[in-house]
Amino acid sequence: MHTDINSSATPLRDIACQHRRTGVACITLLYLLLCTASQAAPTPDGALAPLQVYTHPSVAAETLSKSSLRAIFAMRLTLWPDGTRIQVFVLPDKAPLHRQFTKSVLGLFPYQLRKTWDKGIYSGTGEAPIQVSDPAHMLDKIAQTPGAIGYLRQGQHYKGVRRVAAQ
Amino acid sequence: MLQRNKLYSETASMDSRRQNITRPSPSARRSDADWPLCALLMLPALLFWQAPVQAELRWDWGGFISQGWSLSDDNAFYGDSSDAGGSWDYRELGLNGFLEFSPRFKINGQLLARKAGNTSESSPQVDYLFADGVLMQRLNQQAGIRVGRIKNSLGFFNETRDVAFTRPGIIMPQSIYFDQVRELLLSSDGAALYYRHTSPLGALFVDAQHGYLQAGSNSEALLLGGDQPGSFEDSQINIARILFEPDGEQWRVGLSAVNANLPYIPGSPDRISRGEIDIKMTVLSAQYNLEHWSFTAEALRTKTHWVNLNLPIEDRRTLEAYYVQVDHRLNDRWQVMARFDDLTLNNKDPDGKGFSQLTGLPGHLQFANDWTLGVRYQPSMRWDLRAEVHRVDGTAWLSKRDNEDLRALQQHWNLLLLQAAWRF
Repeated sequence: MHTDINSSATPLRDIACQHRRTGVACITLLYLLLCTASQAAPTPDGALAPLQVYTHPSVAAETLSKSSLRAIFAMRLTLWPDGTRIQVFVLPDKAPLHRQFTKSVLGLFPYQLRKTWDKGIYSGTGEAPIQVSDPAHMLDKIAQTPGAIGYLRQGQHYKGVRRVAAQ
Repeated sequence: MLQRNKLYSETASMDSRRQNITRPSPSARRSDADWPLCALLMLPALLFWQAPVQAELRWDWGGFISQGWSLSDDNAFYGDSSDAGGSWDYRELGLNGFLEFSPRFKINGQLLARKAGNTSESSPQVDYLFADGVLMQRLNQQAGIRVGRIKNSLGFFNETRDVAFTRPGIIMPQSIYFDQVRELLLSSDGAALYYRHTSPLGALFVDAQHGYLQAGSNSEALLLGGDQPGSFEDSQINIARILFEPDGEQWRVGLSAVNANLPYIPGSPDRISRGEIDIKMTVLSAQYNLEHWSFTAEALRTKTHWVNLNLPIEDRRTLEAYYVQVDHRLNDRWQVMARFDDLTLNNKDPDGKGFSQLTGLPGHLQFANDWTLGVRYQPSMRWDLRAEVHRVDGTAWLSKRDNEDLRALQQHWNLLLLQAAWRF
């Protein structure tokens, strides 16, 4: 777990380690904590932190245009300029964060992305991205997967990922 | 193809899945008859084979299954639908997958078994099977080549016309995508180039394709008036399609152009002489998407030229067709749609009077317009349940194999369709 959001990071990490070994109650607690930590991240005025695009540190791009982001999340652009494969991670179609990202950052509706992915799958011309269950897993996957890209609410202390400016 | 979206748990990490390559992909199960296809699609492997940047063999597979039911007051659609209990002769089973050798080279395939009355046999066919090589990729553009059996890139929906989840209704708008021309529209064995360009103005997609068609008895029935002693040989098709999505992607517009050539080799004896059929198709497509509404329209013009075949018909004919569809998404699960679909087989004889005088057959065989209302329920990503009513005037797109006595066809008829689809 890389959700070192604030000073409570150390106990969080401990819980994360135990949770691999212990029972359901712990998983639930961790899930709630992680969701709260990485999803809410309120700014001083109480509003939710803005959505940002994050990549694995190996990705060289520092800024990505809206049109490139659209092509990436539609799974139409499959390689980074250095030839590594782009691995896209998304939250479920119905997740509020996915909706917000799709609409405000990409300027699309979630159903449009889903149609594009389905068309790719069933004609052999594309794939669907890998779906993760929540923002904590999103952070994990982006940090662990070379070439990965995904989105999260802005957090100051995410480790192992790189924020990319969307233009 | 839900495992591509599988929620990755701690125990089944992506990396461990990806190293598992023991399960066969659908592309491994092709029939012997397709060996030239296989040889063809191995060709680009030589071109794109290189020390992979990421030494990772990736693969995945999935599929879908659907079952439909049709009931009509008159005429038979997808089986004996006018029978008291309706017809269950509409089902599809697809298995697809890919094998990625390097980020630039991949093989994709799908096996499809489809039963649709007497027009489609239910034995499994290789729906597509091709190698895909990336020729050039930058952040704003990408180009590549595909070699093998490729779905024909025509209009918005042709490539996925047999997949319930991607169809705009239980059946495709029959004016443009009608089943009798499946053989000509479905796929071709050859090569295709694709190019995608994104800019602040929008996204541009260009596809160019050349290949051999599988023109058989359905094409003979459609173009020569029935199964003939001879056959079409080495039928070829060229397709070009341009799609443009202006910035914002609320709009999508497209233009597809098709040129098909079907040389006819007579049998003996044969009343038809050696000749060929030239077909030129143009499809205009447009779609406007809002959060809860989508508006889709496509129009087709097909010019058919019968050359030297010595048939007792006009040797040139122009078909005109269009449909307009409105989809309304009530929420994540429920969707309703309305469609008007219109087909005229011969624009110089729209009501079929001339045809009727010439052949003695009903004039309504020459046109069809279809009002459709439909409802769609998607309780989860895996399930898709739909119901549709059609009110049809004309019989142009009805299968002549399901309705052998053409004189018994009724001009005005109604159709109820139900369909359940599941994917994995």
